[in-house]
Amino acid sequence: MRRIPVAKYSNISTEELVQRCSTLRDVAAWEEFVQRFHRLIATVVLRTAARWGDCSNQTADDLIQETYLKLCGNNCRIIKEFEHRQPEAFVGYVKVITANVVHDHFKALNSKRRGANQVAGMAEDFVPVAGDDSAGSAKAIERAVLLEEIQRQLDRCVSGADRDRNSRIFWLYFRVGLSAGAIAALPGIGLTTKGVESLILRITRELRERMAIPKSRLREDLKGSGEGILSAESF
Amino acid sequence: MESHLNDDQIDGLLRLDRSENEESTFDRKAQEIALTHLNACEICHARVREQERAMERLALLKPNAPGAPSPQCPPDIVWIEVAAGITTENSDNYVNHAVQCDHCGPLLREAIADFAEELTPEEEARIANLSSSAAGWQTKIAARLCGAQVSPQIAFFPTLPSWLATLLAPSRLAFAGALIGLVVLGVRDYRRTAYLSAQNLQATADIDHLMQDVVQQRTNIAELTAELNRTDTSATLSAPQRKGDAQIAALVLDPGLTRGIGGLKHLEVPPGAEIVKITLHLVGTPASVVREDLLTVYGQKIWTQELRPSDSEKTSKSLTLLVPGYLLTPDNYQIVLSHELSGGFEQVATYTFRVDR
Repeated sequence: MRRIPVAKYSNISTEELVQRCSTLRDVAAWEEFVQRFHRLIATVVLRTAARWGDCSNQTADDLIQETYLKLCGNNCRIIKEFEHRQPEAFVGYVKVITANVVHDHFKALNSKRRGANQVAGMAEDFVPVAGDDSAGSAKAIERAVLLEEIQRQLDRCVSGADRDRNSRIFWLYFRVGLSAGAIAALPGIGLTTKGVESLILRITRELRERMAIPKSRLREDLKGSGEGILSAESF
Repeated sequence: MESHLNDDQIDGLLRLDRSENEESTFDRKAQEIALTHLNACEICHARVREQERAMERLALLKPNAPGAPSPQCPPDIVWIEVAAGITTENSDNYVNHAVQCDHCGPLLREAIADFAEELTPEEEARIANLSSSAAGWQTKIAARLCGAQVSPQIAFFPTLPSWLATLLAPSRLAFAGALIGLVVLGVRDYRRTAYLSAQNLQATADIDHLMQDVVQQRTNIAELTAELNRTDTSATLSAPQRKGDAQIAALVLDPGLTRGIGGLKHLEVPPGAEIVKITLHLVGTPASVVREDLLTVYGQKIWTQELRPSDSEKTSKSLTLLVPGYLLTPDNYQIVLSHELSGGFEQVATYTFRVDR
């Protein structure tokens, strides 16, 4: 394999760099790898560790090092097994490895603190208290009614061949809380960020109009059209 | 009075209420015009208020806290992969599940937020302060990663061409090794088979040769028997004689178990003696058909023949027995002489001798 001068590693593609790292004992290639992915790995480590309640610099540095060693472990087995289908796929792959390293670390830590393989005793007459959001609670029932109502209105707003996709985009935006950009990046969406924004605006307008129609007007409309009894509405 | 508020204006007003930071085409002047109309027009006021309520209800769709997982929920790792853009054949189904699940939806949202490329200024500062961001740390970890990498074929041949590296791949080497092993085993098996075939041919040739010897001996015996029938051979022969190509050893025996009387008669069979001629002295005149059985000391019959005594044998009261030499290994033997009667043979005499070599 042709050897590339150190300075030129910064210009080669991620795919080629990863290939060189996994097949050559070349420090310069690994230095470029660390430089290129350090910011990404550090960001994921800090954010994921923060969810576990520990975002100290010491912990972050340890986890960053652990991530590099995992990528290189078993003679770069993880890297070699990865299929370079698209250049940005390796970036996603590094994200997954990093997040797993952090989750595994804190799971093991918590298990050690709590005592692995220990069983706690429980009184015979113990009755767990149902949470406010548990199934069957007032909140849960209220939420189920809201979801059903919105779904019914949404079904009237979306139609055509892309009905399922459009409906999914609506729920990803309002229920899951994703941004238009994040939705566009998901598999099976097939729209740009602008396309998602435009679709959400259109659906929201129509849905808002439908939801905003006063009950009295709806009753009058139904009377005039001679259709059946108006179903129960919660708003 | 100007016309009522249009959809864009209502959108602008509602979005303005929700977030002042969001980018909007609804500029300050348009906002002022819309607000002036809103305050003056009851219809638009009511409409905007209703739509504001609808937006508040839509905002309730996002759960405040993650819900409990259900049996249909996939493993948490799935959301990390989906968020990272690692697509599988089930990715579409997972996203469909996430939009309907208050447990998985938030997990997907968190994963996407963790993987977002945009960094806040606080995050930028924190990363800059990490020890791992220092050039020295990165140089060290790069050297460690390079050292931890073990690749024998690369280590010894760092400039191997790709085709050669492919050729020397472990799987290919293993296959080649197995192939060579099979070939070696095949050659060895072929050579062993060839050796055994040669041995078989040699053994067959030896058997043929022995068969020819036996036939030759039988021929010699037949010739000698015929000659004996023509001439009187009562003379005792003690030394091997040649008859044609055959070496002959001779012995004269008297009937009876002689071991206790005069000692056992010894027959010296010299090397090369192919036929042993044994002359039996008879007590009386032989019958028309007699049978001679040669037995070992254990009673095992190793030779037998039936013959018609010639006139000279009847006159001389003696019989000649020609036995193949190879039968008489050093040991004690008996010859049982029987006469043919009606219904079978009757034993009439026994002769005993010992063979020496």
